[in-house]
Amino acid sequence: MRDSRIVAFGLRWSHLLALVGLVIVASVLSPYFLEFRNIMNVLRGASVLCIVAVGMTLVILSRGVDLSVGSILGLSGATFALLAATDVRLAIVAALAVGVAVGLVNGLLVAWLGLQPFIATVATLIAARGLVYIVSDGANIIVRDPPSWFEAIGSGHLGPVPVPIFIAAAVVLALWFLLAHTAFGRHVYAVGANEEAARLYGVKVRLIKVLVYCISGLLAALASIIQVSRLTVAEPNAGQLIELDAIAATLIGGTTFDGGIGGVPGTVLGVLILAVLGNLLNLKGVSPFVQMVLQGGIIVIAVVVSELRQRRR
Amino acid sequence: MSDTSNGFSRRDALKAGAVLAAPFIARFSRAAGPMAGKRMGYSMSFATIEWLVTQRRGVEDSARTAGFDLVFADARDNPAKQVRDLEDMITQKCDVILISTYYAEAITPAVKMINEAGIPIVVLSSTLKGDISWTCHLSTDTLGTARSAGEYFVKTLGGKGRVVQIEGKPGSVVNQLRGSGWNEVIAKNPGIEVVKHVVANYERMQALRHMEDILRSTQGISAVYCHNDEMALGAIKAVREAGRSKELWLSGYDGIQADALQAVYAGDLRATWQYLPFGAEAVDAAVKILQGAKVPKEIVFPSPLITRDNVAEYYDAKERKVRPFKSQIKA
Repeated sequence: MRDSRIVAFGLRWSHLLALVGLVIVASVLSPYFLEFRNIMNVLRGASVLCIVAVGMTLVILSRGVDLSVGSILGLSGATFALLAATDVRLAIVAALAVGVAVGLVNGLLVAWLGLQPFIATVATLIAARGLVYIVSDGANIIVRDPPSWFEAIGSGHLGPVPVPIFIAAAVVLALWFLLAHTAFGRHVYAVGANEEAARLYGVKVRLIKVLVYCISGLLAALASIIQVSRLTVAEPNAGQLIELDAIAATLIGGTTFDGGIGGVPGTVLGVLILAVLGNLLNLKGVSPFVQMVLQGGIIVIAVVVSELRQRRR
Repeated sequence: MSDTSNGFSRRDALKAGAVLAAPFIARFSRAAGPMAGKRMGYSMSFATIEWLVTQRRGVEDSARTAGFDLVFADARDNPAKQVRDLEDMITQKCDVILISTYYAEAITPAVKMINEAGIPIVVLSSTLKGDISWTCHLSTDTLGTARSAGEYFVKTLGGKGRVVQIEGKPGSVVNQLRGSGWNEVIAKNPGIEVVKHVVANYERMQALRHMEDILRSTQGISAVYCHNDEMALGAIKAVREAGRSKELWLSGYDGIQADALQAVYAGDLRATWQYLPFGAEAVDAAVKILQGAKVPKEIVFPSPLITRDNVAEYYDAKERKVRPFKSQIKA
């Protein structure tokens, strides 16, 4: 019996254990890993994915998926860079509005037209990326001489800590609170667990679905602002395939495609596991192609572990 | 390009290319609008990085001037789609097809079909491969330029140092040659060690992230060799943020976009080798082919080194504008 309790403990805390284990391995293998600057680099590098992945988690919890986040990131970034020459504040608002707007389209397609989330968001993925190429002519849009406060969003520090880390942390806290401590959060879980039951319970299922896609779009747009601020250029291909990383982080974090199970803390661990692994392999000079294979392997392991966890319940 | 061994140097090759190209281009700039009613296909494997955008704009502008009906297709980084695009261009009865590809091997079946249909092909940059033929191939002496980049590193480093290499898209012939030509020279200089070698797919953000990691794990870097300017700009950002701009210098390739040339002007980018996008030149070649004139099968353009000393020839720092590309070939 003691054995099974250890197994249960291991399954319960598997993500945290995996991250801690990875950090220990990393600090043994590379003397540079635990340097403060390196840790800050890892966290800053992970912040864009973290923000997108938290939004993805919300959608997956409602038993949907948002494949359009990468295109939203590209489109909001392009919108921002185009308008930044006129007024940076206006540009930020417009970029966020574009994110919400694409999210709204996703939500309406899913909730009112009843399209499969996969299909609806593939459609917006393609269309939004097309819009990026139209507005940018497929070229970089350079932000000329941005105000210093704007560059600080992506490149600045508060004390020794890079600004994007604070933004990502704020997003994580906000979404965690929203999911764990509000009626909205309970409704998202309810819709994901059993839509019919949720409806009978009086949950406004369609409204909840629209809202999760809007929030996901908003967060992708926020991520784009960090990225454009950091590079002072909006790349037409920015964000491509980030949806896969975001889904990977969500799955590694224990949120399942069956809906209603998982949450923000797991996803944050998933993002960190991917980031630490990538950093370690880079520090050790491992080929990026090998890194992709390892990342695939980790997803399989993570999903198997969370499957085991479900069964024991 | 084993020519160098029997006394035919890279410079000679470049000169020959320029000589071949100069009259040919001068003649065509006068031939405006004669292609009305002719259809030109233009297939790209990937259209949305700066160098290729410049190429596409060059093709579009010149095609308009020449009066071509242009059929454009971007395979969105998908070789299978490029095959379909090319097949569609045969179906649409294009009179000439321009091909710009990262996937020389993968698109061979479609190129064969074009050969069978008897449609002339103009190849831009990366060469085609396999048992196929084309009418005209415009290229830069990529391997020779990469070798001279290697020599630039050896000379500037005084034969000693620790360098980082940041590569572009795997599968691109140009990317491979930029690596092999440079490596060839570096390998002959045991004092120079390639301490880190990463792939950043020609993208700025990826180069930035990789460079951050490299800077954490590697001390005493002397120089960074980037396979294009985009990646160099990303790496420069990482170096600046790490406060190590004094320690090392960087080089890129392409020399066609304003912020890269601005970086050369500002002293952040030590060197870049201009890589002509060939857009206008390719359309000129197509016009000549359809007029029945003789076009050299291989036209090799020079790839000049741009540093702070001569950047003014390529870039107007006051206006922050890149000077027109074509004028440099005529000169």
